[in-house]
Amino acid sequence: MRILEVNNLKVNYGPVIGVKKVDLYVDQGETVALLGANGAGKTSTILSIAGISNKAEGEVIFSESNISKLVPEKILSLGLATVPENRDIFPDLIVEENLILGGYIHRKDKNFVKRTMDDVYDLFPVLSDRKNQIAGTLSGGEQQMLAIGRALMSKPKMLLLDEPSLGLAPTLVVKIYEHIEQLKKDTDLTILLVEQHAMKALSIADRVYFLRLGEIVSSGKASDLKDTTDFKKIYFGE
Amino acid sequence: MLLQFIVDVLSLGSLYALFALGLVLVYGILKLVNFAYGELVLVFGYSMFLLNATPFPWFFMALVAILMSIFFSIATDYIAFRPVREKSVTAVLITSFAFATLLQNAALLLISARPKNVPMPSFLSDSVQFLSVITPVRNLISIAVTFICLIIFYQFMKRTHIGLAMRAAATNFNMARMLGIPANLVITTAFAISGLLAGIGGTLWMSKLGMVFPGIGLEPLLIAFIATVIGGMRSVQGAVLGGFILAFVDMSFNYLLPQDILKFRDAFTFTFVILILLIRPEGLIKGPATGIRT
Repeated sequence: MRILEVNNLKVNYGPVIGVKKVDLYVDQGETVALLGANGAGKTSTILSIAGISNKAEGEVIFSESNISKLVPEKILSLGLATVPENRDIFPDLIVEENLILGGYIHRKDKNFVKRTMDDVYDLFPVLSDRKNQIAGTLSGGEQQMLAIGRALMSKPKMLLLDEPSLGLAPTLVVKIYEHIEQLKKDTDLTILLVEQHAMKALSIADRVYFLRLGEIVSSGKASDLKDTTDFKKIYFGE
Repeated sequence: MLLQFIVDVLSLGSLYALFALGLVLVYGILKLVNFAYGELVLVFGYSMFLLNATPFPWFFMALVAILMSIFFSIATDYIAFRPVREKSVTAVLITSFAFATLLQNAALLLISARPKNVPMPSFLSDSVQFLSVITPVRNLISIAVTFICLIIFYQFMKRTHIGLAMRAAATNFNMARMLGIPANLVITTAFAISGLLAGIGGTLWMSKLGMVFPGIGLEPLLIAFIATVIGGMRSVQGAVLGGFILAFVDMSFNYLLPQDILKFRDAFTFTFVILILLIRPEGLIKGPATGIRT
């Protein structure tokens, strides 16, 4: 079943084109990776889907409703959560307050929030150890875990994950990806993953889109593309 | 003498801190200064003046007048901010000034250019003496009211979902929205609390002046603005600290300057403010790291 469909997405920042034309879809339960170099338009695409970019044109369908004109808070309440690039945790709030805010839409159901928080702590035990710590004092990897955990607090149907490996040490990247894999195993969460780190993303994705200069240049099953794709060409051009 | 000075600084500072808190609350979330903020004191004052003709007890009148400043604060959002908020900073600067001017002129036109009496209970002006300090009752009430307000405010921001959401929105508004926190709810709440604080501050301010006139909003706005600039535009603690520092500076000059220079006190105060800003351009307390306007 199709859960997300993006048709003819365009993003113009004045004279600068962020996204020229992006068409993509994600099926229920799939993990789809959107790969490309710096400036390919990956983050613009994600922010447009999440409703943050007011410069976007085109159509975004999520769970059978057109969300392209909706405000971000409405999009989240439909079950589409975002972990943005740079993580954007709230640095001056403690870890637990960050998580509570993640569960804001369920705030009336205290038990539900409590149970979801326990699940998040199970997935990321380190957050449980640091729940009373100011979030800004966490390490980069922990902040990434907090950002993912915070997004999970809304119990989304689908997660937009923008560059979880950004700025992390290689060992931490491995760890974060282990967690994402664990998450896929535990839940039926659908994920749209944006990455520069192509090999890492290919290892967990079912399908892949390659983005270059604002356009999808190639797509297919991750298992097929892994060996046959000429990454140099996609990243650096002819 | 020292104790007297401390009481004077605390009572003036608590008033300044209330005004500053109301201004910084909206600034923190929208990264826009509400230049119509001082007019909330005007709204409070004229509401009191108009209610004076009614037979209600003073406390009830004050309550209604505070509700009026809350109402006008929310109206500021709807009239001056919301239509142009996403377009440009300059536009909001102009619309908020315009809204302030509109209210001032409404007061001029509909009521009078001359100061009007605002009813205040007479016991506020009675002097009390304890230890070696002689001070009007209203100064002690100022201190008490402000500290109660600050404690309630702190608990509200710490314990309630909407308070937490407001702190998050002040750091990163877009991220807060991506977590499902409704932008308009947060903004309206900020304006409402801002109006409440301006109303309470206005009550204390009026208890000193005893009258209201069309230009009354300027000084509270200026005080709030300077206090937040000193303390740090992005931080609530900074605004409160800034209020007390500004009061300390004002009061010190009151004590130290000879009588014939005292009328130039503001020039000395501003010099001091400039000095602080030369040393700490971001204000004394920096506040959350990300201050991107949204």
